[in-house]
Amino acid sequence: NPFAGLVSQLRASWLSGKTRPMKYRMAQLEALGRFLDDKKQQILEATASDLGKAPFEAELSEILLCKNELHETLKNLSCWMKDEQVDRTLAMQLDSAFIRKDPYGVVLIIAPWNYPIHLFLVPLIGAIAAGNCVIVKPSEVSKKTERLVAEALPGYLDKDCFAVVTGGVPETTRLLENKFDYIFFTGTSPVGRIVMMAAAKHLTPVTLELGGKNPCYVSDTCNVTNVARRVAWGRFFNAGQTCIAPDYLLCTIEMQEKLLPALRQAIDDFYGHNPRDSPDFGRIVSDKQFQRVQRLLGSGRVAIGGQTDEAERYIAPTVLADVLPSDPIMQEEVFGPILPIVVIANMDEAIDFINSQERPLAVYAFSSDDKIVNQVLERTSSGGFCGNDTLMHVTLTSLPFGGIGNSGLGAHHGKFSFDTFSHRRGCLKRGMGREPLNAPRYPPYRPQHLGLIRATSKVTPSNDCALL
Amino acid sequence: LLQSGPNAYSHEVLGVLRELILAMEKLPSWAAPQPVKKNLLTVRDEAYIGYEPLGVVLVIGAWNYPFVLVMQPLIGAIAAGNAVVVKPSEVSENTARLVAELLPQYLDKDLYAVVTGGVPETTELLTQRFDHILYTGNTAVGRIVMAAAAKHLTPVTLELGGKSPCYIDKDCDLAVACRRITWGKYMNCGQTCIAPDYILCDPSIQSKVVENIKATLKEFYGEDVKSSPDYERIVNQRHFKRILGLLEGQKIAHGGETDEASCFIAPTILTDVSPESKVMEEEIFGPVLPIVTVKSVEEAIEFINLREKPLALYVFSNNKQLIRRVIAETSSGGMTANDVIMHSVVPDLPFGGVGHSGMGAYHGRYSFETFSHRRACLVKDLRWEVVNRLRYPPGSMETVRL
Repeated sequence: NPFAGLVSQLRASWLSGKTRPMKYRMAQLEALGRFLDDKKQQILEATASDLGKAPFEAELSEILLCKNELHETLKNLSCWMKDEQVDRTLAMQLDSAFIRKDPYGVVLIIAPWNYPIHLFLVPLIGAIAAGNCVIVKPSEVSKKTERLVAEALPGYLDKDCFAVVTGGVPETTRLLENKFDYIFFTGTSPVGRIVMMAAAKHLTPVTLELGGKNPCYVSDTCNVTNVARRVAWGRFFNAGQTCIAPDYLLCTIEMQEKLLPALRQAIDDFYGHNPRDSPDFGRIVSDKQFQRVQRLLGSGRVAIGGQTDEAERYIAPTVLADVLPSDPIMQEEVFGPILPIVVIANMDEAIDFINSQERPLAVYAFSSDDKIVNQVLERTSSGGFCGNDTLMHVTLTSLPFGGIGNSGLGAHHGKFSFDTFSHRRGCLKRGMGREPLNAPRYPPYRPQHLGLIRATSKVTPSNDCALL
Repeated sequence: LLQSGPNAYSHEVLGVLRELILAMEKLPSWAAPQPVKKNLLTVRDEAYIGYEPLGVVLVIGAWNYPFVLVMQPLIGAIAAGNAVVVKPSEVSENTARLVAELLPQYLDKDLYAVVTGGVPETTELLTQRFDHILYTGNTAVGRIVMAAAAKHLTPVTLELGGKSPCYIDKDCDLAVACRRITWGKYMNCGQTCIAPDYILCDPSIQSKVVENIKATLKEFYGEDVKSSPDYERIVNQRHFKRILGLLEGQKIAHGGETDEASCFIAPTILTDVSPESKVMEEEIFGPVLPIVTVKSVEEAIEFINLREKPLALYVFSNNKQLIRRVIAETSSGGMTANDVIMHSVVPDLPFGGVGHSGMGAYHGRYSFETFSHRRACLVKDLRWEVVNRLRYPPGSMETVRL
């Protein structure tokens, strides 16, 4: 077991209590902030090399959003760490009942390649804030970023408590043989299953941020220009390699005809006539992914884009019209810059279609009519929902970010990260006195005592009085 | 189990009634969408967390508190809007039969079902896809349940067990401490997941602890424990033999009498127990109380931390500093200071384990949350596109700074 030594070293640090004091956690978090500041240029360069990520996008998703999380956490950590006092029954008025947030211990964070800094750093913030020791496993697919993280990050964090492990599938498999106290995984559903199976051996709790096909319903009553811009932005950001990107569009044939020119215009506004020359449009991360996405171009008919260049791993911002549910592109998460449009007759058909599929990470609905947006929201189920825009719900740190069913388990962002990596321990502190008050519960049991127990443990609904 | 009337009522029925009333009272507030803090970009939008049902939930009960351990999760699952399959433990067969007969008479058969059976039936059930599984039982089976759930990416709540330590400080009212410990340890004949499993104390107070517990036992169950209507029995032969095996080679300071025919084991205390002995390896789940001596609270804390995280942890002391220290330097599902069991009846405390003692929690509003999906919802306006221009390409670094 090649990683046993590392894990037991971290576990020893954990048992020493080093990560528990708030000062310690704040210091580590502040060091993370310095990492982002000092290494910003290298991060932009690494992600540009790995994914052709536009500097604007990288600064937004890899730096800015991470710093937001850091600030939010640093600002609120002392409040989040406090014991939560809870209401007590009549019989416990003189006791202290509270929830203590305990760290889990040694945490493993496995990150993917599409937002290679963000997707390990944001959970890492939560894990550190909650007082854990952490092993970070960045993705081997985004090679330059992996090397940057492995070389630079340990210099900023306490090596006793935090480590970076690199490698591919074999290394990750060996790593997962070890006992962790929490595992946070972002990636695909099939690998999510493998991670959870490995976690089950040690009864390790997990958060799985997976994926799926995020439907985007566009009603007939809407501002077509605005819809096209918001959808195009969400779809083509990071060349479509975003877990919450709108995966496919559902609309009527009339709306499809209106949307196509609007989408063409939006793509032109964003990336110019030849997106290949735009510094703002990304590339596919690897040859394997490029070939996979390229195969999906065969579905429906290419209404916009469709050009590819294997050498550059470039796929043009593409819209496919008249796609059928049985087409290949509708069988897997696209994760590329292709937007298929599936024509439906009406909203009910759209909702039925969405509900016939696995529950996605996000559901999107566009309409000028509030009632329609709310209907789609109420009649579907998904990790999260955004009405009249794409992606934006995950930029609010006050909203939990996570999936449901095949799209995932658990959530994080903001305080939810801290909560994810904390064990909420129910605590009751009683006094040694007033022992006669306990008498009704002791044997020999008497039915009369039950009345007393009932009265003092708040069973009757009318007993609203929580104070003596 | 031979649970006496008032005992069963207070432990099984009262808890369920209380949970029901709480759920009915609080459901509107639990289920209401929670608006959240917005930022500058979303100030004009609707942002909230919606609580939604997960779908079809499986509740697997245990045999020690066979009624409450299926009913309490069921209440939460129903409150959260799910359909539920209940699988009561086959070991407590009479209660299982009762639940299987009665529940369908009261609940909508389209949405709620009871499945009975043993290991083969449960294994088959676990091949099906559920949207959440709540399992109460032992650690070994907990692993099996989680592995089965992993195939479907089903979230789980596992209420397992472990050895819940009970540290008695030299500075405490021993009579009171021992009375409370005796109550928690021997109720339901020790078959309680949060019973104090073993005692840690200074060698100098060990014999006083034994004397006090003996005195309390007499108070509770009389001279002849076997004839007390308030003292239960071990659930079956298999567990009876298992617990008997733990007594081998131990110094029995009190009790030790058994009767195989009635699965009776007298309230038993073991002294000077070695940490390596069998009785210190597995959860006892019986009326046997080992005392392991430690020279200091530091030693106690180290002892506890070297072992798997327990479901509950208990500490008795007049010294508030010491109590605070034990809480801060250990971890457990839950804990009570200067009493036992009681943290599990505070309605607003989450009840659950950590590490080998479990994952997730329930009781009260935590049941509702366990069986709900918190869906992040952001509803924007289709107008006001001008605000969005900042984020669109062609991007420039100045706008990022903005």
